[in-house]
Amino acid sequence: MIEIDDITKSYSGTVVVDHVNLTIEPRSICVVVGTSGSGKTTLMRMINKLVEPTSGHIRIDGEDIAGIPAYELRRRIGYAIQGHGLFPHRTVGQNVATVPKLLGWDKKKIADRVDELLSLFQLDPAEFRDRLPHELSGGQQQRVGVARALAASPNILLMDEPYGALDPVIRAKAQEDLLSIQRKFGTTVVLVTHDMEEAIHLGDTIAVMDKGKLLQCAKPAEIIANPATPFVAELIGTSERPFRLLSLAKVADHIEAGEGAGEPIEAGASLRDAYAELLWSGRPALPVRRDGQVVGQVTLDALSRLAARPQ
Amino acid sequence: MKIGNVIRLVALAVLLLLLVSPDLFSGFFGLFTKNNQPAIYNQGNLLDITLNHLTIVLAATVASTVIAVGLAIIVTRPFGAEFLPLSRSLANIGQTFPPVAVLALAVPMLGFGTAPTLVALFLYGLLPIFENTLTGLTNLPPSVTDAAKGMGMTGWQRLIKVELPLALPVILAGIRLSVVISLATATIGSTVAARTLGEVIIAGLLSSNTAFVLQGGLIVGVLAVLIYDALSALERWLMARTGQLGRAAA
Repeated sequence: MIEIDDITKSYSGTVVVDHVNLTIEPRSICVVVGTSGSGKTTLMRMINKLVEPTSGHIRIDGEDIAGIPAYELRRRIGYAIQGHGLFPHRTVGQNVATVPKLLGWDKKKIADRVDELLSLFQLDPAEFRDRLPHELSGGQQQRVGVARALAASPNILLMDEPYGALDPVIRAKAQEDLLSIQRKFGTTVVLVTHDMEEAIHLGDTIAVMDKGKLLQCAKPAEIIANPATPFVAELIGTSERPFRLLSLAKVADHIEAGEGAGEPIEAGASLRDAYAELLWSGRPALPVRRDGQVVGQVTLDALSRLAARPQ
Repeated sequence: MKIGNVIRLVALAVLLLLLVSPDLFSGFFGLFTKNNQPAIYNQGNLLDITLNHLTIVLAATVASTVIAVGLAIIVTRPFGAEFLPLSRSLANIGQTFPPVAVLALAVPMLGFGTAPTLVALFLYGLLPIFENTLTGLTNLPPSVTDAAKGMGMTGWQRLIKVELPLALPVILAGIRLSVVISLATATIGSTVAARTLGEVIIAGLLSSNTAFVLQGGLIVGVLAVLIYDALSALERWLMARTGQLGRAAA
């Protein structure tokens, strides 16, 4: 658990982060959203002491981080940034091994861990271990960056616009990877982004910041239904609200009896995808397929009701 | 093999031949003599003098490198930042002082011989290395230094494992400039009795023997070009290895 307690950061009089209180539950993904200059990155960088707060406290699992030497704290917290920040003069394997090496793991353990992580990110260790970062594609570099952040199995992973430099297709894939890895390891993730779509897709909770202040921190459905301020509503986009709401739920949770006609949709797809398919193909209902079997249908009527503002 | 490398290899071979058995070239240098002057320098072995010349340049450059890189490291650390302007001016003064003036001032203190030459070359070599090391250490990609910090590297670990390796090609460019300047400037050392190739040139000037002047000048010139090219190639290799070819070498 990360407890941010009345934290303020000011640079020679300019307040960048203004009395922010935020509690991040263990094993959850908290996405901090805001425009540039909102203080979201500064807030995140105070968690691993890359920025020292002007006042206030941050506690990790009850321990005040002010008492922990910065380099020791940082070795316990994964850190992945936009543009990956890989060391260009070191091979992929050496990059991933950075923190375990700093922690003094023995060689065998480090080598095993590097191979394990590369495989986890679908990079064949034999092929990629000894290559230099500039020989990789953007998506591969980004995966190595996250693998490096996770190398010493940290409980907390900080990510600063990690997908900012990726094209939409690779970005969607990287987001799925993050979700499955977060589920697998139970890592607490704090992710900073300016993209509300990404926040709704990834976040268990969303914290919206503007001009250094925390405007609202809530579950995605709550933020969409009841934005605390006009600015939050604007970030979500008024005309996008029903679709964002639909994107939160899976087809699997809203299957009805019956068999719609035509091409089925997978149970794991989001309601938003199902809604789009219904509209596009002009059908009133879609059959739902799970493990190759048609198990029911979703209807346009039901989805329209689900897309309405929650009462 | 590229045509440039062929020319370099030929130049190196001719240079070595001239140093090992200069008499082979007496016919060529004889063209520049008058009144039965000797065609080949006869007051010492050309090979010995060249090696001595190179040793002086090497010693001075190593000393400049250690001090300049050390200074640049100190003034780019948080505790040394205040000394940045001071050390910049010191290195600048070293550069603006003419080497002849340094020799003239150093002789009364150090006597005649190699010592004053070493001091002059050392002072003269500081600035390019210092400036380039500063550039290299302060123009690192921000995402890389940020990541190094965020990974939990201590200040020295960042310096040794990330900053210096990435700055190395730029530092090397500074060393290359310094070496080439020193190779040429070392000839002046012969005016205070240092044993360098300047001795051959001066002997030629004193006896109006163009062949001597030509020998000394050619050897220094070819050495400078070859060493310059070799260090450039090393830089390019280092840049390519670290994927930094896009970054400009200062």
